[in-house]
Amino acid sequence: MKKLLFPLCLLALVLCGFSGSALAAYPDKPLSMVVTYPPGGATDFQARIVTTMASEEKFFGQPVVIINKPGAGGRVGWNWFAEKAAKDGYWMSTYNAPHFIAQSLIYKDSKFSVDSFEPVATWGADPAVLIVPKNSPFKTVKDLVAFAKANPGKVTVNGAGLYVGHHIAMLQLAKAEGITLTYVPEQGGTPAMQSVMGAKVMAGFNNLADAYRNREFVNILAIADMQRHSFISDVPTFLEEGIEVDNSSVNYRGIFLPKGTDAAVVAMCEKAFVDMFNSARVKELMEQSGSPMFVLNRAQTADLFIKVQKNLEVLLKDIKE
Amino acid sequence: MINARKRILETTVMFSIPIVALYMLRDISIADAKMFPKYICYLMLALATINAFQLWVYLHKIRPIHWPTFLRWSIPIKGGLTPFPLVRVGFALVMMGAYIFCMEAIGFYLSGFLFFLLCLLVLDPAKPTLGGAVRKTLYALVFMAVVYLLFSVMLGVVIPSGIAL
Amino acid sequence: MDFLTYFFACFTPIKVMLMVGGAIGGILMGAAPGLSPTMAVALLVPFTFHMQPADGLILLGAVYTAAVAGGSITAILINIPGAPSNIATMFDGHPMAKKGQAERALYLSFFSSGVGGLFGVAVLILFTPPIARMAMEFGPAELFWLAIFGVTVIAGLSSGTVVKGLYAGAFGLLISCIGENPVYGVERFVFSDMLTGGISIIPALIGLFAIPQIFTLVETLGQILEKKSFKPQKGILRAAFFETLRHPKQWLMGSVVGSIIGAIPGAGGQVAGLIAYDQSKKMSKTPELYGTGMPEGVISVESSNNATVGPALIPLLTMGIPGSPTAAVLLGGLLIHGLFPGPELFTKHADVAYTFIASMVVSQFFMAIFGIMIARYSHVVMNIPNIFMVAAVTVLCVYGSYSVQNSMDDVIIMFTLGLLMYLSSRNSFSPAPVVLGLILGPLAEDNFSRGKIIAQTSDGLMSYFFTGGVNLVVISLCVISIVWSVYSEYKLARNNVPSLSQA
Repeated sequence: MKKLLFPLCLLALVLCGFSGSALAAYPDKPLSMVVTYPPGGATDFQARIVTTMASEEKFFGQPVVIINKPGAGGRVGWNWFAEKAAKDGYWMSTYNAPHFIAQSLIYKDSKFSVDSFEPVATWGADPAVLIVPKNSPFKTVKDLVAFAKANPGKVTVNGAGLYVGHHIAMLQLAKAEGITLTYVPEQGGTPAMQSVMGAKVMAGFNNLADAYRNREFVNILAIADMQRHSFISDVPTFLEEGIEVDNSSVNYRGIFLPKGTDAAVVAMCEKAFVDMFNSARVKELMEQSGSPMFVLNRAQTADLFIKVQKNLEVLLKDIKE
Repeated sequence: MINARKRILETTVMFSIPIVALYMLRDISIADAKMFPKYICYLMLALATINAFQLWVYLHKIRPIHWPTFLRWSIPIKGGLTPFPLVRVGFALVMMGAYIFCMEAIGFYLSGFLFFLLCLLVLDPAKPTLGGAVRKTLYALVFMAVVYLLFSVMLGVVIPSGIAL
Repeated sequence: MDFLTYFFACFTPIKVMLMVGGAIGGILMGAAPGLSPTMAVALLVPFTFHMQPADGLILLGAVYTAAVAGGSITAILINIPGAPSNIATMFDGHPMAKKGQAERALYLSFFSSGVGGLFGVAVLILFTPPIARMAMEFGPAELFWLAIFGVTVIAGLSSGTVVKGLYAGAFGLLISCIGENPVYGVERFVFSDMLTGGISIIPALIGLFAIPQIFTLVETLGQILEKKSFKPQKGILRAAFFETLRHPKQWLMGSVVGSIIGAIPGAGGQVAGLIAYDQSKKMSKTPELYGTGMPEGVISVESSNNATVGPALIPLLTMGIPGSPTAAVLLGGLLIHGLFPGPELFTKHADVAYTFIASMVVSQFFMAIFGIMIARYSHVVMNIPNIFMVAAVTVLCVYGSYSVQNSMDDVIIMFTLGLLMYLSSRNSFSPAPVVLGLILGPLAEDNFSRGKIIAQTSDGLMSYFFTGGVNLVVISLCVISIVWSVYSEYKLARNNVPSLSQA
């Protein structure tokens, strides 16, 4: 008889699972959130911070379990998510813009595009900043531009990878000032920071959050955004310096669901996430870790995607030539 | 001459891997990106050639004393005392393949349990008995229960869950 | 030395419980094939959210150091490494286990781990500023040469079958190119969607080592072997302790190698064990006995891989640059608690930082103690009938490969590589060079490409790669290593010539 007990229990469980979930019961089991980067990275720990409160009744009443699916700068995770993730509302993913949009444009065999996803909310905006080693001869952006003009192609600028925000910022800077810079793609934000600290490259673009944390070891010359940031209020924007670099390279992080998820579920997620992002505890933890917050709801996030896509199509066309 | 046949097969494979790789590299546009794998393939081809040379010499049974040290023989595996248990290994292979491919469909714990049980039943050289079968089911249950406790309950790790647990 | 005042702060009941729990849990998690130290720490980071920063860090640190040591258990007992750092432990550890000396091997391993770990933490405490500066000196060119040095170790590992060893290493280098190249953004060898992310190390490790081992067990199931039931013996513990002390050259060398490689960010502390093994072999008077159960092989490797733990934290704590993949996860843990690495950590949060470092010292002892306690029961594992091993290990391996990246594709990759390796192992190819190639490939290639991009803007390729103090040091290491390998091959052949002529 003992032999039959286990299969019987299983059968009972299976039948429970098949009883279907009424919308009022959503969510009745833990939610899975795919993070397309390795554990310990910026997106990963920020995702963990913003979802710590999910188990509270007023948000989801169920915990959010983070599942890391790293690879190819996020593409592996997003490919999987667009193709294979269940559309029942229990699977969601973090997004990084402009990364996923740029990748969908550049890599023709990607299985996703801006239209494969239902945007839910945005939690953070990490602008790119231009950093140089502590002992660099460049004291302002103008110094760097002047040097680059005199020595085309000699200035090495690194960033966390190819076609990520940093790369886009570099392209914008080069285009705006008509200079040739040599881009050195690194394995991620931290290795890129390390190279700049060790003066292995002359300059680099990196995230505001990382640069702020390491401000003892690097000089921050400018920020690629529309206005200065409170963390580093004495650093000018590129626009203030007279250089046409706007906020297309800002690294936005947020959440989306697969296209085709039930509209009521999407709305519920949106409300829960926006409330969580705006809660005091999340704000406190994010500030503690030096990560800038920027909350957008579903409609605003959708607009953001459209704007970034348009920008990228123009910018990337220039590279192709 | 099983040894010789095995070694000929091995040398063929050693040549074919870099050749296939070089073929796959052909349609990459950026020259720099091809450089590293290309040289690795050349190295592999060189090593395969040395191996083929050794094989040729072996087939002609020349004594190895005169050769420089870095072309020393690789020791061929001697034939075992018992014939190779092809059936059992074949079964193990098939079961493992089935386990991996069904894991996502029917869930990790169920498929693990079934695999464990089938392994114990099929691969055991002793004669199957009913009492033995019951005991094996118990072992399988206990093992999967421990794994379940350790991973799902204590660490809360997500496992591929299909229809069942 | 404000450090001493904080030393006693780590002996509160909660902290001691965390260290003990972390040590035991870490050893067990490290032992499970597939659960590497990185994953073990990553799994526990969410647990620490609700703890005090100091407590959370203590737990993570204890788990890190214990997991690195725990992998030696499976390496010795069932010839399957628990993590890349334990590959070299297998070479001499498992033969010792087969000869009935499993307990001795395990004791040696844990004693050396403790010694190596203490050495590493001592380096962390005493030499942080110079090591941090040295770590920053390593740029693309230096890392490239370090990778080449690792490649020369591949040749050393396969003495006796150099051609096949080099081929296996080249194969490893080749498959490391699968996937997207981060510097140029092109995809190579991606003939199936599963391979877009490339071949990740842990599933490959499991496939290459565990699957052939499992099939070997399956093959021998039918043979009624003399039932070698292993019994526990008395007095081994004390003997092992003194034996470890009798080989200072081994653990000193291992610890130094481990400390240096651990401190260098991006250098892959996983190869520290293999490099230490290679150096130990080169230093020995009887290199041909390595692989048959030489205790020196176990001592040098285990002290080296635990010595990477402390120094990996140096660039992490001082600059926020992790010295190893596990340290990267620790960085996330630090940030979540609002502890920014840097000078601030040692001033504003001095209590947390110093208590953490102190706890690392104490954790070494706990790890050694619990490892030894667990090792007492090693004969139980050795006596389990093979058929259970086959089934259980397969289930754990499948689970381990899946859980690294939550990806079914990894399991399929593991199985495919494993089958390939099994078929090749009958032709005397061995898996260790393949894994070395897999780990070193990206290191060598990415740094070369990046270095090339930078060099083209300044002085040119030659001067970039061949000038600079650190560069020259590492290049000379490579040259010495190659020369020594060739020389030992020559000596080996000369000694074996009389026996061969009888064949």
